[in-house]
Amino acid sequence: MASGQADRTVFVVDDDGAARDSLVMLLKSDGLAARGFVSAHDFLATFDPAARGCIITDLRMPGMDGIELIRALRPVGCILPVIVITGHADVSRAVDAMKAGAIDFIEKPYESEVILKGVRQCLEENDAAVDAGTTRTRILRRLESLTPRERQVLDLIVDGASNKVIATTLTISPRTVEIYRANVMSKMRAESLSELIRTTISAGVA
Amino acid sequence: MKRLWTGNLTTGVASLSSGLGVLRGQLLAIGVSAAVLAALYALRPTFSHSVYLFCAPALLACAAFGGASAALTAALMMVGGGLVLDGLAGMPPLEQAARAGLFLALGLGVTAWVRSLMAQRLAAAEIIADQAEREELLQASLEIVADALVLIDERGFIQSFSHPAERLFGWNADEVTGQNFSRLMPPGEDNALTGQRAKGDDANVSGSYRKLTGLRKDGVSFPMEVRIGDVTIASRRLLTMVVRDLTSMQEAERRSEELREQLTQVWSANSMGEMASVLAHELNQPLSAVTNYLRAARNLIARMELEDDDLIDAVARAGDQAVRAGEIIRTMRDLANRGGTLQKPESLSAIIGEVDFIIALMARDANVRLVYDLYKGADTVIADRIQIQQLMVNLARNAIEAVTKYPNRQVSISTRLEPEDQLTTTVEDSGPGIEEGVSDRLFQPLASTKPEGMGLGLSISSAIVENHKGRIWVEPSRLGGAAFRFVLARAGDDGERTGGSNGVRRR
Repeated sequence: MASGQADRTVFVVDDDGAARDSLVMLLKSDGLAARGFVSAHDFLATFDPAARGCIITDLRMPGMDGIELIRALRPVGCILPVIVITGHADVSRAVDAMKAGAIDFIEKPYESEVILKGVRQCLEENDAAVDAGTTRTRILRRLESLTPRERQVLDLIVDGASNKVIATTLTISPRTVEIYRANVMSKMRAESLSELIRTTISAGVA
Repeated sequence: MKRLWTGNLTTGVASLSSGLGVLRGQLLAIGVSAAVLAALYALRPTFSHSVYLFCAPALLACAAFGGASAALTAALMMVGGGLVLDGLAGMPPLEQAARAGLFLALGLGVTAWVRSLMAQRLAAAEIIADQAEREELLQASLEIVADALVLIDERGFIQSFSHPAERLFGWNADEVTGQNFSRLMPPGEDNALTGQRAKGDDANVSGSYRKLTGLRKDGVSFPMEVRIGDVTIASRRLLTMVVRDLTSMQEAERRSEELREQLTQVWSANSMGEMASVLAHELNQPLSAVTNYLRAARNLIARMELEDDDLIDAVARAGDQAVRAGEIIRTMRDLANRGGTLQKPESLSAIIGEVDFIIALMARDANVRLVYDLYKGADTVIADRIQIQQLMVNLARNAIEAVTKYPNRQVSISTRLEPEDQLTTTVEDSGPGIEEGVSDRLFQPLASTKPEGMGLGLSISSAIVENHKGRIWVEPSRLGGAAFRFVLARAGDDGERTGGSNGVRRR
């Protein structure tokens, strides 16, 4: 894992133990650093203004709710992007959340891909806010987020290898290749194969 | 009262008319005596020796038609006249005196006899009048008592049939007197009555209640309650059957039951949406967790780079199914929400007033003292009437259930206007209150403190309040228990929300 990756943390605030724990585990399995908090108060109590990354908060929580948390962040100097997740389809609350400054509003149950995508977007926004990164540094950061295996798969894709060839070359199963490949696409924020190859080559790292 | 006064008047009239009678008797006596004496005087040569013989029938006639005083007057006049006539006839004084004395004795005797006869007649008349008065009073009391009274003898034959009984059964007393009581019931129904009477001893029957079916003259049957007592009149044993028509009571019960059912239906249709929404939320949490865990597991398994793909496939497919389950729930929730809520300007006190009787019923059943204190001024809110009523009944039911186990059972429902046009509604009780630490999770679903509770009541209540952009919370009550309060923004008469800022309230 590249050095630039480790200092970015996803802070998960959710009063529901399983929801919080599973999300943290999902993020970690995707190579991201993640920490869970039982309540908004818990998070604010241990909050470090220098922290990088993003926040995922549940909307409805006893005590301070998600929107109140967003409002409480600015006064303590926190500029971390916030994703609000909720189990209620509640349009007016979604508007409230966006007005308060949330980047994204995701309904439960969500597909893992949706939240991972949202997280990546948030992380880039945070990066941009901190060091006003160029397109190239952004792509370099995306590349840094790949695991060594995913990086190998990407290199082979750029070389034009098919899944079968990649599987044989790396002596892994085709399904594993598929998963690595999907992860690569997601982490590089590429909608298509051609976009993936183009952005990788344009960064001049392939 | 009226009857007694009339009685007094009658007595007065009687004494007046008896005075007139005496006068008339005197005139009669004087007239008759004068006529007889005049006739004797005229016929003196022929009947000079039997003056008193002719006077005797006249005296009796005076006694019969004029009374005792008339008889006395007539006797005295006749004795006077007799003495004169006898003197004219030249009768010796001793014989004159003897005849006069004899006749006077006869006159006095007749007078005394007539007087005692009259006194007896008067006493008899008084007794009869008194009896009639009592009879009327009794009849009047029987009329006032709405229940029908039927007297039957030991063999079941009707001896007396009160007016209410006539009205109830449609029979005239004359028509059924002497008939068997079973005429008043559908065929076979009397077995319930007579059968029991035959095998049990009478002491058992007397004082007992029976629920039977009655039969009217027009053939319509109806539910009735018969209370059986027994009386002994002139050494005859009679059974009193007090019959009460249960139709109206059953009607009222049925109506109240029907109303309750209707409300329950409306509410359950309404609650279904709320339930779906609450359940969707509750299931979403674990489903999200499952999806996340499976996706994480798949990533981890991929990293293990196993040769066999079965494990990855299994986990990936499990993840797909979790997503699918989530979609089903989302659809269900969308369907439930599509009905939407019908929010329009309504008076808060009118909304509460409409469920007043339901809450009163619950309070009555639980023997709870219920006090209302509603804000009297303008209290228009933008609300879904049925949802707010459901909320009120939920809160009231909770409050009533909270106090039932305690000797002091009080529940108070009040509304108040607070600053910034906020209308606060409070439902509070004198129960044990909410345990510390519980109040935080109180409005979360499945957080019931009641053994039989699902824990959806307060979460639905809270969902309703949120639908109305309001706020609900709990705090200690001045009554000693819990006070559940919710605020709604007061709207102007045009229906515009005036409370809060820019019309939208946030939590």
